[in-house]
Amino acid sequence: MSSNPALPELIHVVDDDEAVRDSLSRLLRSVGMQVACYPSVPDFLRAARPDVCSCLLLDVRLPGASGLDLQDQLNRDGVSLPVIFMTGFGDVPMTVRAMKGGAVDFLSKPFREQDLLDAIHQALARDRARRERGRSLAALEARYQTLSPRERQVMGLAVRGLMNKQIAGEVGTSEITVKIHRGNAMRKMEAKTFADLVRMAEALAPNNEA
Amino acid sequence: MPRRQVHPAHTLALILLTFAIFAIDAFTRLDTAIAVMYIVVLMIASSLWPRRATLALGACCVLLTMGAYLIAHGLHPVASPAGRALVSIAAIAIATWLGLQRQQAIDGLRQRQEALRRSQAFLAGAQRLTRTGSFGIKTPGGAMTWSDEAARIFGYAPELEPSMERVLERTLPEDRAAVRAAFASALACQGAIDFAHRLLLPGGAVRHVHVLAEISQDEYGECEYLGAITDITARIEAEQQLHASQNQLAHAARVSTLGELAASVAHEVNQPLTAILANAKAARRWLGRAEPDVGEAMAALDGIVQSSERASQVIRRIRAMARRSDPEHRPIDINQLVQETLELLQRELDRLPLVLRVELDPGLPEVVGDRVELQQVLINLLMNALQAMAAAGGAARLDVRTVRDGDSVRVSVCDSGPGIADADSVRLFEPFFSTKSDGMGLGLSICRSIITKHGGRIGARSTPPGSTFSFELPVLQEMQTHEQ
Repeated sequence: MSSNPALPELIHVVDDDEAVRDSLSRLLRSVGMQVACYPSVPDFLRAARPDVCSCLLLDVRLPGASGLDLQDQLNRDGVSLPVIFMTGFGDVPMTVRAMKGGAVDFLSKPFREQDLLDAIHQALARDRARRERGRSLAALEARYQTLSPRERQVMGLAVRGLMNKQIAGEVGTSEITVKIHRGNAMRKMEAKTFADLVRMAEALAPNNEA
Repeated sequence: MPRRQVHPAHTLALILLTFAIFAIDAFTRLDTAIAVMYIVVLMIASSLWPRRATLALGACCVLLTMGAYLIAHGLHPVASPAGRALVSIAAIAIATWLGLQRQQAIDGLRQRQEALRRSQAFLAGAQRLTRTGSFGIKTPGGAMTWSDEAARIFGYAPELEPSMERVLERTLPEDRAAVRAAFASALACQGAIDFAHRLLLPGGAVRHVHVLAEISQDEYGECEYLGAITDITARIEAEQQLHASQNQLAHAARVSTLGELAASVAHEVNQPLTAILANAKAARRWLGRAEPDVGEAMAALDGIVQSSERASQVIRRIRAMARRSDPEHRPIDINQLVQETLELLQRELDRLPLVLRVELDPGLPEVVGDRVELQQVLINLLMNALQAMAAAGGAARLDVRTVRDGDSVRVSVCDSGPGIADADSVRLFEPFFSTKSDGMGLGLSICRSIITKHGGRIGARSTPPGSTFSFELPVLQEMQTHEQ
């Protein structure tokens, strides 16, 4: 579960219709969710978004910039907020565009409460997984930062499958010293087995290359 | 000249009579002027025979008189008989002349009679063909006369004496008061009569008639009405059929507009339904909690009520547009109609990056009209403007204005589209003329027939960049008098 279970999930609702906004807010609050409502895309973009597990319930047709435009913009900006679309009158091209853009679901108004809640749970699960992933990676990164340059070097070579002797040759030190560095790296990275260390190195790899 | 029929029996009788007179004159010794009796023959002949035959008979009679004298007295002049013969001859000549004169007079009279008969037949024929009867009303008594066609229009036999009671008996009960009033004003000799009313014939058929009458003076200087009554049922029925088909066409156009607006309509209906469903579920959940939150549940229920009202209003509006009944003319607040129409088209307006300016004259008086039809005109003009601007691309600007202009209210829709080509501006409102590739060309022609039916005008002009379509409707009369 979330590292901060005290904070409930936050659902952003963007719809130009006040009655729809209010009713959705009331329904989602009744199941214990936190809701933030916005009448338009610019209102949503202006508002501060707290860093909690959340998703976006978005009407396709909005005055000015449409919901699909907002989805494009979020994707461009690298904001990975799961989006659920709602529409009063959807057509196929609209749905295709939304789903290609990574939407969790596309709900036709009026929708069943269960469909809405299912979609929201799915979206929140997706966000939670993303956040979890992000969080564990950050912890791993933090642990990796505690390694000395030599320990990192030894760890890098070890996970590539080199023997301690080979590493010693590579680094230009004794096999004993390599063993000590390797043990330090395992301890600092909190890896119980060598296999754990390999997985951690894999998770870190794209970040280190970047 | 009318030909006289020469009857053989008459001719024979006259010839026998002539010879009988001759025989008595020639072979008896009566001391009287028997030959004068030829005059009787001539008189009868002049009324039976043609002119020439009469003349010939006159000459015959003179010759016979002279012949009888020669047979009776030879060539010796005998004073007294010769005198009688001469008197007889003179009398015969004069009688022949008089007979011919009389014949001429009678022929003239017969000719005029014939002309009169023909003219009457023409008139009756013309009345029958044009379904127009003539009538007269004499004042102060109110004595009426009417032509056969007038009697036929009222469904009476021509021999029947016309009267106001008979006219009223055949008048549709709803129209009786108007007919009575017109008759009363005629009896008071107050101006010409020109009005239309309906008749209810014994078979149950309703007939529309138009009555026109003017004052003239009769020979005693009394005021008299001479008028015509025309059966205009066929024309009225044709007009009614025309109106019915115009209404049907307008209805078809409305339904097709609804089809075009399907997205907007679906949205308008689905929004409140979404709110209703979500509120209903929310209310259940708030109440189903371990500690029910009545406040939230009440708010949800209020939300349901509001959204239900909104949904039913939307449905009502759409049903009104799809309805097929005849137009109803009522006082209308044009500003409100413009606002409602813009609301209905909100989704269509949202499709374009559009600057919409709405200027509604707050002092706009009401007009009389059919709400649905006028809304149809507005939708048509707005949709045309939107389509023109969407096709043109670029910055779109739409101005919707209402303004009072004298005795009329003007509504104008000004767009920033490509405008109207000069060549098109004349034909724009003609049926089947369209500048759109997929247009039927009926929208604006239907708009024009609707506005014309409301006693107004519709027009278009180029207002670069773009075009302005506007229509004017007359201000409700009561409002005017109230304001004055």
